[in-house]
Amino acid sequence: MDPSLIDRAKRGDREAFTTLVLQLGDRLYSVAFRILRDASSAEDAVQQAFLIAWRELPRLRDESRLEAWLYRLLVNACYAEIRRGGRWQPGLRLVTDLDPDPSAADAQLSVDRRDELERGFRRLSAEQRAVLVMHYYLGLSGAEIAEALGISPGTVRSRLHYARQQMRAVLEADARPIANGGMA
Amino acid sequence: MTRNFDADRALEEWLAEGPSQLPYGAVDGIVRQLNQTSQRRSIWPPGRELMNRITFALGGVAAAVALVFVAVGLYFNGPGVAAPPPPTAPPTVSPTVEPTEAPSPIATPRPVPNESDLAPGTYAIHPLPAPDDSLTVTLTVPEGWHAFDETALFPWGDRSYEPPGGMAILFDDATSLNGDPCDWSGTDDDVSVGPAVDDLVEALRAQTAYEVSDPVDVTIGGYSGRRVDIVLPTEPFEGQTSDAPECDERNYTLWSTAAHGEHPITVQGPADHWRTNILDVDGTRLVIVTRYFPGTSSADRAEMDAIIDSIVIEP
Repeated sequence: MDPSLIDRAKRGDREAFTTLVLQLGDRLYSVAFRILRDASSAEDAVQQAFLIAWRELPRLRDESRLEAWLYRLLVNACYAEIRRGGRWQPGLRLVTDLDPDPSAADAQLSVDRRDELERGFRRLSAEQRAVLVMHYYLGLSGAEIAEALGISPGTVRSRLHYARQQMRAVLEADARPIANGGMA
Repeated sequence: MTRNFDADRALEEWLAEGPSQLPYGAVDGIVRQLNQTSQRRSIWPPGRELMNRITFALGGVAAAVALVFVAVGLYFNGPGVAAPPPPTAPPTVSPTVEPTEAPSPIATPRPVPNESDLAPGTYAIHPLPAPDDSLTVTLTVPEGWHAFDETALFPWGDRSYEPPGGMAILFDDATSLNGDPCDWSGTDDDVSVGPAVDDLVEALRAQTAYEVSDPVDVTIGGYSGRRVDIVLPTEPFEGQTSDAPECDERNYTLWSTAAHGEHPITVQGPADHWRTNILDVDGTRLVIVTRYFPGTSSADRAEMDAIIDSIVIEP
């Protein structure tokens, strides 16, 4: 990222900040959507994060930490969205990028699997969802997540572990032998 | 018919799906609001951030005061624990420990694997750093517990360590208290604690940020000490979470510890209760904390009591 762009934005250059939004907005939105599982809420969270970033940017001392700082603002905005409680809508989604020639059984399995994952994900706390997304989607390490979220690596580890356990429990519960018409 | 899958891969693939482009309308919305939003000027004196980083790094390293926190179990029980069985060399176990037969007070204790779910059974931990790392705490756990960092236990599955009804058992060694558990980074207001049981009791009782009960006598694993109940406040926390937005790193932290290195044990939410047992094990201080919330069920608390009751300590 161009340091002069950040510097100009810190000095009040709205055009420079807009460029930052265009450069970073997609990634932040991707993360927000995966935490919130709702496009509208994710948009709101991203907007909120960028507005706070604009307001507080002059206080960012280390410009190399801009992205980590933005993640923190975004995750906090996501927490606020979840706590408002209005838009947690896991729903069922038909995914358009399935294998082009799946067997009927495989396609059904994929939809079921996605439903299981949605169901497991909704059981997680906001904090657990955030570390899960940052680890599995962004590929960040525990240390990187800790820095981005402003929490200790120990807290990251515990939240990540607990989130994984919850997700596995949901998936493994449905992996039991199916009998009696499919009632596990 | 059964289904086999890799849960982690399933999670990765699932999270890879979905939109990845911020709608242009959202960008427009941000730009419009920029014009209505002023920037705040920096208020920090030069070098503050660097200073904070340095002091935070130093803050995690405090004098080694061996406190092992054993959570909860003892809280109303009187003295009396069965004589400890002779320690034996535990066998090596993998992180996925196979279920064992019902635990027995004389079962050979196994080492607590780090960050693993524990099968019901008897385990041995060494919660104190050198030179006190020979001190062994043996305990028996039922189904549904997980070991974290080899010095903390918390339930998994349908139960958790988080509010409103979570719990945990902590084995730790506090090296100093944070004068302000919210503004805790750095060492400027750290409270030094002497090595004796009463030193820590008095230091805790002198804190004003949280409630500390009058101490009572306690015995765990055959060793005596004092117990205080710490009740943490509700105000710093955002709802029923561990998020304390106004605090350093959004964590509310009572002390720095040697067992957890630079990663202090944090308060997990509003009105977190820390039943803090401070023992004298032949001159070595050992602290065991049982954590719970007002919403923790009596059955869960009884389960923690049972774990604490099973403790055997070898100096």
